[in-house]
Amino acid sequence: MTAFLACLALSPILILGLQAFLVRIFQAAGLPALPQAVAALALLLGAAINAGLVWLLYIGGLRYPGELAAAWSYAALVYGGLGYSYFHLFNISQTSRRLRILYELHAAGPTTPQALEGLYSPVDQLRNRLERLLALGQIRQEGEKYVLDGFSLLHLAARGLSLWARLLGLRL
Amino acid sequence: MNRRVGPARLKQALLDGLALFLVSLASHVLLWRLAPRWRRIPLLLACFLLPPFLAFFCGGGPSAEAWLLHLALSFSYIQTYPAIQALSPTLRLLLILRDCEKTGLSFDEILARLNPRTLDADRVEDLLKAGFLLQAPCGELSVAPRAAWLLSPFLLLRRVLGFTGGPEG
Repeated sequence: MTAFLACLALSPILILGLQAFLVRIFQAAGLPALPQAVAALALLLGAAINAGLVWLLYIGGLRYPGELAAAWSYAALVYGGLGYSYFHLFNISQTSRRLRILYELHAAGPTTPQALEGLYSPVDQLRNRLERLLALGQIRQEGEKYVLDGFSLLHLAARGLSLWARLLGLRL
Repeated sequence: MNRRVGPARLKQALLDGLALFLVSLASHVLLWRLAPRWRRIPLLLACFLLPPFLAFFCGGGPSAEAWLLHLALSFSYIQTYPAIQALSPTLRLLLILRDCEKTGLSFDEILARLNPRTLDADRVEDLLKAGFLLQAPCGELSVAPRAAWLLSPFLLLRRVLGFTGGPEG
């Protein structure tokens, strides 16, 4: 049981190792890959490896369907929660504007707000975001226009978050 | 909360962990609706970290398994909260595109609606308020020493992962 719990609790380290490995494989092969897509791939591979490990360490020894269902549900929820947290942390390191501002100022030294805008312009920010969404297949480009692409998981997330914000009484 | 061995203990931990998370979430929703002035990150952390301690002091502390489940779910919610509080530009962009689903929008039209310039000004303001940025009387911005503590772990993570440079933003 302790090994089963340790395996789940340490799963973000496994995902980190897998992602670092995959990034280097993609870089060595010269394949262009969106960092978030590689992180998602690491998350899925980690889930498969973790499922195998928890089966070997604990779940394989269970007999009754109720016990199996509870153990798999528990493992899926813990892995899902920690895996999502890891993914989010990585995403912050990749897309946070606050960190980008700090990084630019750290590299450039004291800078006026106008010069800071030049280092990371609003146009560049929007271009970065549109390129990411196109690469993830969340939107498509029709001539000069950008269009939401049918079923978009991120759009669904945006709607869910704005609904939840309303439930909390927050104004967006 | 029971502390039984083996599969029964795990079943109980599943229920306890979910119950703890739901109680925490409910207290967060109630507090946010009833006391808007208290909508602060430390209080959000308290909403999710206090219930297990309260249960412990009431004589029915959750097991380690229940704690792990509660923490895994709580971390994922706490990480999502900033995106709930101030919808990220990417998610806002998707909602703008949904409003013009049939015709779509050009780059300039999106730029005009999203207005990232004001969003950035908000971020600089946030960083100044939090003490991560310093502003000289002449208006120049510089990074405060404490910002290194914030920036370093993320730069280390990026190095471990094989990325060069800073965040794309």
